Amino acid sequence: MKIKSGFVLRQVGEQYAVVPVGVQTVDFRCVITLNETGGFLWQQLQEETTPEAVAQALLAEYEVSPETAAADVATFVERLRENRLLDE
Amino acid sequence: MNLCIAGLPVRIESADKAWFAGRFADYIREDDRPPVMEMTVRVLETVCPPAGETVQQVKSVTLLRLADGRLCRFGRDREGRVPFALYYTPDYACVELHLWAERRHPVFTLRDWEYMYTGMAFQNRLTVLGGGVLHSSSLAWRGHGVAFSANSGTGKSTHVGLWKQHLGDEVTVINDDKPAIRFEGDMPVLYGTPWSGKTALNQNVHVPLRTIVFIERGETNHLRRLDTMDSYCRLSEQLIRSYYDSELGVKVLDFTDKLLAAVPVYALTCNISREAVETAVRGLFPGEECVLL
Repeated sequence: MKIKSGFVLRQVGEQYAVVPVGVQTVDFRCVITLNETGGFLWQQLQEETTPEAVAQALLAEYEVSPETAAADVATFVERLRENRLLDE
Repeated sequence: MNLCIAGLPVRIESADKAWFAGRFADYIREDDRPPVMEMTVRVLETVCPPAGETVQQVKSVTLLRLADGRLCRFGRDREGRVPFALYYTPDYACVELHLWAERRHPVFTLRDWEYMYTGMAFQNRLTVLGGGVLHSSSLAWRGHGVAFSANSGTGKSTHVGLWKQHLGDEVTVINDDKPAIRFEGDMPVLYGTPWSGKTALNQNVHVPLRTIVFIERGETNHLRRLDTMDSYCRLSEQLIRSYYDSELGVKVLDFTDKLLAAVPVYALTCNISREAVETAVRGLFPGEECVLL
């Protein structure tokens, strides 16, 4: 799985914003705001990957338990899926 | 027509020459600088799409890459006819617009299409050159440029009209819908352009852009400074991005970052009153003494 093309992640202060460009602008007008962890997860999902690999990356970057990392990634991926932001 | 738009030498060969000569009169230039952009408009009995490699299909619009390196974007109506085709170099420096003479639309005339497509092409060229277009009604007051932005129908033009009414001749409406912004070093400069939406309210002037204000309708009047993320989100929605060019979209985001670093962004909750202007002008320019009419 990976994030669909046409969405650009930008750092804004200490947060992140995801902005559609090009053809994605037709149906997707709003900006997605993410905290630091959300920005990190988005970056991982910009390349083809798996939830397990993203959870591993999260574990390597932040001090969280494997259970918490897996649950956070699952929640994040589900939100992306609901908003049709993933290519799977 | 040789024009100077947002300080840039531009050449436009329009189809409706008499109307364009009137609407663009304030922007005609006599100098011999080479244009940074050339646009030609032709009205044809039939518009035929060229042969090329399909790059993208966006609803009824097809984007082709041609053998000569140019791009061509054309639309089809429900009957399969082609009402327009826009040929352009990837940097938008050279643009050719073909319009179907028999195009019928419940709202827009052929002249409107010519006006709108040339305006969009200019926005693209301006973005390539590092500038941008903010959907806003904008004014100059005592040398300060202020852009009032919001979704269409919120009351941007109404509010700018109130400034004119209550601050009189010190207010110049720069552009009622889509002013250009270019940077001189780190300073953003607000420019009038001939493309100003439904009205002809625009002037070929420029002033430093001091602030951007997002208008919100309310019962009472209140001005507040927006935080960085709120400013960014609102600007991203109102800085114009092309549907057909992702690279250009990224350039608009670069421009957004630069703009955000250069000017404060506010939200003005307001009604239609003299007090709305007073709230804005005293909040935005606390050091300026002024008497409202």
